[in-house]
Amino acid sequence: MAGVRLKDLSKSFGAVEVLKGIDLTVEPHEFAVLLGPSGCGKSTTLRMLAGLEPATAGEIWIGERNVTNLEPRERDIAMVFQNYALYPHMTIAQNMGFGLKARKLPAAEIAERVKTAAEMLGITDLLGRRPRELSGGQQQRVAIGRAIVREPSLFLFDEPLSNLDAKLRVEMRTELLQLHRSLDATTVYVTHDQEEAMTMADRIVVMNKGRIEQIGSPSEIYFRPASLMVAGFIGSPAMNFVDGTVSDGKVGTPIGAISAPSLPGDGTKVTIGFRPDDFYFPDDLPEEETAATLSFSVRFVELLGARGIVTMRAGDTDFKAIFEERFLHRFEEGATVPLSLARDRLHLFLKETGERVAPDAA
Amino acid sequence: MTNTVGQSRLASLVVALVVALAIVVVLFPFLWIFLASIKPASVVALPDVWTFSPTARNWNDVLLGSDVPKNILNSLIVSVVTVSVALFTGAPAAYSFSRYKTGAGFRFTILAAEMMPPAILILPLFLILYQLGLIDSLMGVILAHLTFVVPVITWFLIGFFDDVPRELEDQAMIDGYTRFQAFYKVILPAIRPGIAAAAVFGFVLSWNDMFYALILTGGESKTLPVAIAGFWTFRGIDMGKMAVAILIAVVPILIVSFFIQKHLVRGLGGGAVKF
Amino acid sequence: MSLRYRLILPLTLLLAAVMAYPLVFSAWISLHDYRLTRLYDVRFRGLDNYLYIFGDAPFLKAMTNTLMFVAGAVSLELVLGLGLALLLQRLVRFQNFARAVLLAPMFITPIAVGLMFRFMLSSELGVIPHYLRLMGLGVDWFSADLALFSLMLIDAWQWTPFMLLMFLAGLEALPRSPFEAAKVDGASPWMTFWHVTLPMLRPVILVALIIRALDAFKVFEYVYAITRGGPGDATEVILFHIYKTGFRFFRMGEAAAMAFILIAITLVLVVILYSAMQRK
Repeated sequence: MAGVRLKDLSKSFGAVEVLKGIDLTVEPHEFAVLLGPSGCGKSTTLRMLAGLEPATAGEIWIGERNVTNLEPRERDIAMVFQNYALYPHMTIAQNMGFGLKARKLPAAEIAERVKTAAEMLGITDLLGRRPRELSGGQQQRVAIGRAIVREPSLFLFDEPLSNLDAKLRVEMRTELLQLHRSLDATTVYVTHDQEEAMTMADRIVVMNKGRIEQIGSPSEIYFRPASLMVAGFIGSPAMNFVDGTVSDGKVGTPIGAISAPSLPGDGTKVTIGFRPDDFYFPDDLPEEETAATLSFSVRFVELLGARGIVTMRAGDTDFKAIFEERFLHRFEEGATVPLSLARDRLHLFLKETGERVAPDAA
Repeated sequence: MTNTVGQSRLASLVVALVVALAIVVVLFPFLWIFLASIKPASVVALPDVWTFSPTARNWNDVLLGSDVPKNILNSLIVSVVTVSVALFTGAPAAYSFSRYKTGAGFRFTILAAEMMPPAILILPLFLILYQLGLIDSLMGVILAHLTFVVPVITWFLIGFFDDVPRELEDQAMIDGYTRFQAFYKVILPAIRPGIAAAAVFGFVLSWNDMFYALILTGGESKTLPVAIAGFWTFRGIDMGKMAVAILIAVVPILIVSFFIQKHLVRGLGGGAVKF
Repeated sequence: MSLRYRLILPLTLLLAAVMAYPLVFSAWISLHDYRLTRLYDVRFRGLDNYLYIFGDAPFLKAMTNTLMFVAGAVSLELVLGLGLALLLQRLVRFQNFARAVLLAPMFITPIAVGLMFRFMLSSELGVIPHYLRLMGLGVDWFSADLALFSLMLIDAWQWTPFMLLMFLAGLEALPRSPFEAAKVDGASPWMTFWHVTLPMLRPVILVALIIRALDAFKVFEYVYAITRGGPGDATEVILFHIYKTGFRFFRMGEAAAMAFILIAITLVLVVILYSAMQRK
């Protein structure tokens, strides 16, 4: 298994710059997820890694080889596409063996490898059928099987689960992870689904507008988002934000002053973020850990089961908070409720650049 | 939106009757021509003879004692060669138009070529072939037929290529093929039904043409449609034999066309009209 | 050269040889006094051929006949095709059989269709006039008054199936929900047809109409098989007129000029067709 290195990789379609200098290292055996909103360049990065799009500038290394100018077939990779891309005129067995046939492996070995992979995925009884006779989930398995038989040095996945229904998607996640581990593979996986990224990735690469916003483990991405964009993109419901100006060791905001550790100099315009789970009842939070206690007027409550989402207003901004069901009676529509924010749960970003300032991005 | 639910019995009956009437209108000419082909010469020209003792004489005369078998062979050669050339030149081009969106101008040119009135091309083609000494040769007819079969087949295939997801050739390239190999080892086989339909449609067009063949042939190289027209002359007609020739020209086409009916709409749309 | 251009190279060369070159040649001919009988004496005439045919009564008559033929035949086919498509949809049984049979005429060679109908409509030997006479209707289908109309009917027999094919596909592709909404809204079948089906089918109708119209301009075989332009000039259509001018009277220059006028009309229709297709 090989690692991947992208060095200052750029891509333009005509005058449109879709990738602006990507630097990324994926370690061998790692499961790396490229995550971002549509149009952020994640799929383009993957397609360039596969050799399906030529790079405008920069280098691509797979293992110890510079593959920047190599054809896809020379890169020793396997890829699973969102729409599965099964050859409609071939049987499942032929589909899975096609890449090996192209590499002129003996028929017996092809059959053997196809059989092994099919058993692994539980699709042995489908081998004689054609793609159109299969359900979406089955086609997905075949597409994965086709990648496995190749025993490539790198697996690429382009939103492979997004055409499946919700239940199947969750099942396939687990299964894909198990496969990744048992094959000891290196995987680069593209998705726009943050839940998928959080549950599957060793490392997440958050991309936005052709740049990498942050690279880190799922918990780093969630608890220490490096920028406003990442903070707003990860987490559901999304992080709450309020703009303010630093003065006197506090941040003055339209909803009240909020104290925070390691503030930049006075007069700096900042954005403070806090997640919906990070509201406390004032009594539950010791004074020294409290950043601020603010008044919110309740607009409505959505019950999700054991928990509920409270939508509240302060100033002219809506905030969302998550509370356990047993506390929800405190949030009657129209009521004004004081809630506290914890100092160590705040995220501080420079308003101008969106860069994280506190707590430091360590 | 098949709307048979809640349709009254009477309405269904009326629908069935009208459709049946339309079927009769379509089938009657075939029936009448078939009867003419097995009627004895004495009654073939009478409009109200329904009972007679059938004869195979016309069929014998046409198949064994006329030029029609030669005309059939001519037509076959022309159609097969024309369609083959059209596929070899049209398929790669259609793929390029579809996959690379190669110039909207090209697409328009193909459509315009497809719709080109034959009147504009027949004059120069005739003169060119005349100078090359190719009048009354199959080669000349083939060249003429290429002018309409090639654009039609290309236009047809664009639509089928448009339906192939781009990932299919991406996958083939990752599986180990060059782009061109991906085209002929994966994409072409994947649209086999579309290619078959385009080929059959092109064959039908070439087989059915009389205009070009009438002007460019005359003797040895007459195709079947020209030969059919020759049965009705100023000296009189031989209705029985003409009926046989018509059936020979028409029945095989009806049979093959049956298989392409469902692909026809996609093809005619040429990647532009999505139904 | 990149693959995309290598792929279109064979086609480009072929079309250049069999279409572009003849087209240019044709344009050249149209500017000359080019007679097949006097090839040693080809003279440049400039636009005289064009000027001449615009004042040429037989040409104008052929143009009028063709336009009438196109308008008549195509609208007949539109109405019949749409009607049959709607009926076929409601057919409870034998739908596939009926469809296959009703589509058949569009696949057969037009010269055969022409000869079949000449045989069946002929006033002495024709089976149809015979039975019409028994019903008290003595009609001479190929008289000066009726011949062009008869040719339209024959065209409709052969080409209504094309409309049917397009409309069946178009209807099949329509979403169900507007029809269900119309039903919920209590719309009568007539209102549904007029306000839901027809507007949604409009793009398909437009495309089918233009393709058929372009094709109908090329009408030749029925005329050649049946009337040869007669009686008098009642069925002299443009393609037949060009054929006669070029290959009976050998006046190639004039014939080419006529063909170019036909091409101008065709191109206008193709532009409309192309933009209609792109918009979809």
